[in-house]
Formats: sequence, C-alpha cells, structure tokens
Amino acid sequence: MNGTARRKRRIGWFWTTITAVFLLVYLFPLFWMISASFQPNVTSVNIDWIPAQPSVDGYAEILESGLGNLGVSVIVALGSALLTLIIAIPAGYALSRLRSRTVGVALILLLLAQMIPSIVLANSFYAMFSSWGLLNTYLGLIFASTTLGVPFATILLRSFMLRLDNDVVEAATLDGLGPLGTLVRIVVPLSRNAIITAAVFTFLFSWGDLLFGLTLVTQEQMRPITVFIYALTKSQLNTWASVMAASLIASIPAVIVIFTAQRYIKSGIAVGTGR
Amino acid sequence: MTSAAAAARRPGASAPGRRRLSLTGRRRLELWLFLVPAAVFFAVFFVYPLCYGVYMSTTDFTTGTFITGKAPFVGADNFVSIFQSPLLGKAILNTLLITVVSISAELVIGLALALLFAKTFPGSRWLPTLILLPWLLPAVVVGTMWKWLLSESGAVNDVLAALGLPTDAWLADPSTALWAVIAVAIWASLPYWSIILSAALRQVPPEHLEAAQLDGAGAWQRLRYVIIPSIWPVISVLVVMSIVYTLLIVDLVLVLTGGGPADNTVTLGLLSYRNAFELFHFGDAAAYGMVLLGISLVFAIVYTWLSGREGAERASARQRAHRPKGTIR
Repeated sequence: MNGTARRKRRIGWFWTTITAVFLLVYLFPLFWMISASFQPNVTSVNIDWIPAQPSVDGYAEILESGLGNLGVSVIVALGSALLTLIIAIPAGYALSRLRSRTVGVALILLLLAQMIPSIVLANSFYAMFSSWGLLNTYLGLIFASTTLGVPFATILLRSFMLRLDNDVVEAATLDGLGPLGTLVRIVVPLSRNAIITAAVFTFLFSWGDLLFGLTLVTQEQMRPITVFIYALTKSQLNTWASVMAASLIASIPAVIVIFTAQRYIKSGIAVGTGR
Repeated sequence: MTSAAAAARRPGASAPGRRRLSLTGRRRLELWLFLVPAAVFFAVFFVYPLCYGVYMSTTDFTTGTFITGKAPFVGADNFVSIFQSPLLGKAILNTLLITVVSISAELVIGLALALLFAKTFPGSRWLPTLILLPWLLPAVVVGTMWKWLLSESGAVNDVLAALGLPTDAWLADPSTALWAVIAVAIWASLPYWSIILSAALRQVPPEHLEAAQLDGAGAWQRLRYVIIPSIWPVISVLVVMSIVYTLLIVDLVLVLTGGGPADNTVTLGLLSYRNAFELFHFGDAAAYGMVLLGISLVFAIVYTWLSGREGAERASARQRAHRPKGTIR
C-alpha cells in the first residue's frame, strides 16, 4: 500500500517534470523577449541569453516616445469594454428572458457576426468614418473595437443569465422595481462573474487589435500601442531592445489577467465553443 | 436547433407555474426595449458596413472618392480584375494551407497536451494555466517576437546550429516563409486548444474509462474508442470555429512577412488590406473581402449549426440530469 502510494507520487512528479520542461521550451520566446529588452545596443548576433549588464534604456526610450500611444490603447480598450457592456448586458438579459423565435434568430446572427472578417469591416469603416469625421478619434477606435466584443459578450452574458433564478427576478418586480431597476439592482450584481469575464475579454480583444488601429488612424499620436510597435518594426532606426521593451509593455494586461483573472478567462473560453 | 429554442421547449415549466410567471405584454415590451442598443449597434457597425462593402466592391472606389464623393459603378469589374490576378489563386491556396495544416497540428498537439494537463500531479492546477499566456498576447507582439527569433541570426538558428541542424532566414526564404508563418500560428493558438480540450476531458465519465480498462483496452484503444468519441462534439465545434478564425488571419502575417517574400505568404485578408491601405484600390480590396467573406460564411454556417446542435444536446442532458421542480428557465 505504502509502496503504491510512493510509486504514484513518483509518477506524479514525472508528469510535473514533463509539463515543466514543455512549458520551458514553449514559453522560451517570452524569456528571450524579456532578456532582449534589457540589452540596448546589441544586435541579434551579439545578444546574451542572460543580460550581463542589464539596462533599462530600451524602456526609457519607449516610455518617452510611446507613452501617448499607450494612453490611446488604455482609453480605447477601457472605452470599448464599457460600451460593450452597456450594449451587451441589457441585450443578454432580454435574450435570456424573452421566449420568441426571434431569440434563436438573434443568437445565430450573433454567432455569424463574430465571424465577419475584421478586414472587411475595416475597409468599410475607413470610408464611413472618413465621411463621419471619426478617423483619428478615440470614438472611432472605440466603435470599431466594440465590434470585436459585442457578439461574444452578449452570447456569454445571455448564457449566464439563463441560469438566474426567475423567482428572484420576479420578486424584484413585485417589490416595485421597474425593468431597468431590476436589471441594475438585481441582475447585474448576480451576474458579476460573467460581466467581469465579458469585460476582461473585450478589453484584451481591443488592446490586442492591430487592424483597426492601423487602418482608422493616420496621425502618429493617435496610434494605439500595437500600431506603434508595428511601426517600430518597420523602421530601420529602432533597436531590438526598445521593440522588445514596447512588446513587453503591451503584454502587461495579458500577464495581469493570467495572475488575477484566469478563472474568468477559462470560463469565457468555454462559452466560446458554444457551451 | 439553437439552445434558446431548446430552452423554450423545455417541459420543466409546468402549466400553472408557467402562467403565473409568464411575462405580461408590458414587461415583454420592456424586454424588447433592452435589445434596442444592440440592434442599433448591429445595424450601424455590422449590417451597414457589410452592405457598404458590397457596394464598394462594385465601384471604382479610390482615394479620389474621398474628395469628390464619386465612386463610378463598374459592375463586376473588380471581381474580374482580382480573378485575373495571379495573386488570388496564391492567396486562396495559402489561406487554405495555413488553415488545414495549422488546425491539424493544433488538434493533435492540443489533444496530447490536454491529456497531459488532465492528469493529477504536483502543480497540475497552476502549471497548465501558464500556457494561456501566449494566447492572450497581442498578435503584433507574437509576430514581432517571432520575426526576430526566426531571423537569420536569431535564437532559433542558434539552437538549430548548436544541434547541428541546418539554419535559414526562415521568413525571408520563399520556400520556408509560409511554413514559418504556420508554425507561429500554431504556437499562438495551442493554448486555446489545450485548455478547451482538457476541460472536455474532465467531462469524460471515469466509469467508462475504468470499464474499458477492465475489458483490457490499452491506452491507445481507450483514447480511440472512449475518449475521442465522448469529446467529439467539442472537437467538431472547435475545429470549425478555428477554421473560420484561421481563414481571417491578417495581423500575424502582416507583422511576420507582410505577404512576402515575393508574395509567397499572401492570404485573402492580407490582399484585402494591401489593396485598400497600401495601394488605395478600395474597390478591389472590397472584392477580396467579399471572396473571404463568402468562404468564411460557409464555415460559419456549419459552425452555427454544430454549436446549436451541441447546445441543444447539452441543454436537454442538463435538464434530464437535474432539474428541480418549480424552477423556470
């Protein structure tokens, strides 16, 4: 008995080792990115695996030239997460309570909308926004990025709200709360987890967007950080340290999410496959 | 067909309960009003741009159009011109090759990882989570990082040289560039596959596995006859959904190669981008977009059908399993 337990333990550690080795190899590019970001004035030829004299010059350079772009990304990602929630929470709630053929049609449209190529939208947005005066504006970028979030968020919120107990919602109505009151005071607090998931995903979608930023912005100061990085790689004047430093800074939201909100990510991923 | 339709058909709501809780006309109207913001957003930012795209694809829409406001109607000329371009065939072939190869690899490697992550071992709760990181990174970061790693004097070649393997400027060599792009695409989507598949594996009834084991089924047979059939619904939805998303790939290719070398890595999405925002032929760009839209729509419809069916199956399974009387919805 003791022997089996010990053997089981040993097998367990064996799998731990396999997993750890795999992750080391798989995540090696990230290590390389970190290492390179601390080595200004090197080319890819003479770079050290572990910086002998780490320097934050790359970061200083980026924070000097790209701070505004970072600000654009923060504003656009927060703005589109907020706009997505404003649209998706009531829609998800209505779709979870209504019983009508339209609900089925709406869900199919949402699934299809999720799969419209962004580049098709971007082409049209460029022409549309140009006549509406929305090129190079926060609002234009927020609207465009919100298309990445609304279908997903609505499907996710609806499937969560389906599980809310109708009696609780009914009781609120009997207590004299109007529909908006019920939504804000009862449904939203009860759906907290799903709302956080939707917000986290929308933020990350919008933060990671390259296409809309690249097409709907022509002025340098209105570029999101992703476009800033893309432009850096295109220019011959950059050092890899600064490009990697900028890439790392652009990765911060992902890292924060991994360590603080991973369970929301996992539940969001599950909804993405129609579960 | 959809889970909503299945939910509406649930017999769990008994007749009297249903009557008591059914929405009055007034409340139903209020719920419909909640759909208004979404409907407006859809009309303005999905339906209108799509119609506008169709319109652009039939006009000679250029930079001049923004000044004069005139886009002469040219009928199917844009489509004729892109179908005569040698790039279209190349782009379709590349798009399909990227899609088929990367998804096959992601399925096989993802399943292998999922089998590993589904085991219980010290660290089995938090170690697999780390794999999510690459999936959450912006595509431009993934592309930039790999562009450097795969360059002639990059780290990949360092490792290959140390192992005595041939080195190359992977993204600059026309014969390897597309494969390098595919490899990066696999690297970036693997987390998604492994996390979903390992969640699905946890739903496989352990008694089925034990029964198979008692019957003398080896590991391979258990995988082939027990595990894969029971996670098949998840796999099928995942594959179709990934096909649609991989077809749309633009940003990663744009950062890694920009379609080069010698147009060897162009995809439909990339050609649409290039025509609009590098060549300013918005009409041709829209035509490429329509071809892409058409192809992805076919798979999107399959996906909708599959996920609706799976959703309905799950809903009815859940309902059979545990549905306390009296709760509605």
